[in-house]
Amino acid sequence: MSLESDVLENVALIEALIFANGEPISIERLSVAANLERNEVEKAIAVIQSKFSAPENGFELVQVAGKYQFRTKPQFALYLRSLKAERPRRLTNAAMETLAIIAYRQPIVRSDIEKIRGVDVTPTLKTLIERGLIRIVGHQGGVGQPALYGTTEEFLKLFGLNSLAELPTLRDLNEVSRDPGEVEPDETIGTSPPDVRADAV
Amino acid sequence: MATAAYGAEYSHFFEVRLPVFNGPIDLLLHLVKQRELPIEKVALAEVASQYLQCVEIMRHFDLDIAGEYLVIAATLLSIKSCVLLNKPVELIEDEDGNLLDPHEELLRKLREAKLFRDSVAALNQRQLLNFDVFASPGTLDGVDAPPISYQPHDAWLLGQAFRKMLDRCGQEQAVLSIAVDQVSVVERMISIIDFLRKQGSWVEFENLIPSPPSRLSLIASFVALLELCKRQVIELRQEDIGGRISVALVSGFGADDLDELELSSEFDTEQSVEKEKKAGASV
Repeated sequence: MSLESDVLENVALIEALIFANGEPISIERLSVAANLERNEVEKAIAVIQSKFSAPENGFELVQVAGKYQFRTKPQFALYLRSLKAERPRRLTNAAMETLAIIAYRQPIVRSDIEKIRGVDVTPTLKTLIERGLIRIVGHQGGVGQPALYGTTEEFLKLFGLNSLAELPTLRDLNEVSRDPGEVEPDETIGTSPPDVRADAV
Repeated sequence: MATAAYGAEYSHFFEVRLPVFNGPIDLLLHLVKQRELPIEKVALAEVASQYLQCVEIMRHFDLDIAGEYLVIAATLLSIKSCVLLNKPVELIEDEDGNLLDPHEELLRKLREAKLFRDSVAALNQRQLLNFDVFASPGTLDGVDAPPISYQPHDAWLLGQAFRKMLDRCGQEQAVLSIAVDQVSVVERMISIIDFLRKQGSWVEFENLIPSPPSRLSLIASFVALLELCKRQVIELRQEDIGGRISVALVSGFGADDLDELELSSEFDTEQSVEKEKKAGASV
């Protein structure tokens, strides 16, 4: 099935715009820049997405934060990293933990974050704000009006998320633990000795 | 169980690498997960002995056992005996005087810790930009994001930027001038508004500082910008993280709005206000 030639032309134009923009670009902006109707842009995007998903392409069209961007495919990470002059900085464990709490529990105040992590999170919050991954989204009523923190668009871009709704629901990760209540009938206390793993010593 | 030494005196000879746990809850969570058990009282009763063995080993290696380890050990044994003997649990009082079920409390802490661990794992599974996947910076300079209106942390951003400028400004020798120039914050506010109106678009905030910047004029400009932010006369925008900050008048701000504005600043002394009145005639 061949595509109509004007759709193909649109595809090329949208490709050029997305490529040159670099940063994720919205359908609205593409529509204005390309002087096309929204649904025409959407059609072009669908074609581009399927075109670049082919294995012979090194990068693909992804949707992050509701916008579109070309990003390399993950299997080439090692090679790409080697081209970077400085070693790419990952977030520290402390930063990731704090960020995870804010991502899943936003909006949340500092003291509640500290209750979960058990440590002072002020320096981590500062780092995360500096990196533009979190921001103050409001203030909680009551004594002191403490700031409420939430994640930003940069956060979505960093983790390749289209929206907060795309954060994996935590139940999806329960591959190992079974649902409460589904205890096997032969699991009784005291029949089998507790196994001590050698490397647990 | 952290890195342990076999006897204090051999600490540098022989180190045992153990999986690191952030406290007893983490250890307990690991034991339950390892046995593939759900977080229920029955499961806790089952791992109680194993937990106690771990704590014993830690003590053997002379590790400092926080009191919390032992409190949880006691709770585990209590759970085990309740499960085995089908006894009801004894309620305890917390610091506010409320009655708590200590077994349910432990289960709640475990579930919360598990949720926390899972959320970190979820984020870690994703492909990180500039680590797992890469994008091109692009050569068009259109900005897609709408200008951000004043938010509390804008002041913080401004503060960071000014700190950098102050540092570049360097330590000024007050000895150089005998009369210290009075700088009026209100005067700065008026010049900033004027400049922005003439530009008619976003201006990098560095262009709003008189050059060469003296520490006084820098500080006055900073306070002026904050005041204007507060009064919602201007908006701030940062192009990208750590990038330049741009300033613009709030859209629709016209000459009438300027007349209506009563500009004042608690930082202006009488002398600087006088100077401003004179300068104001030419604005």
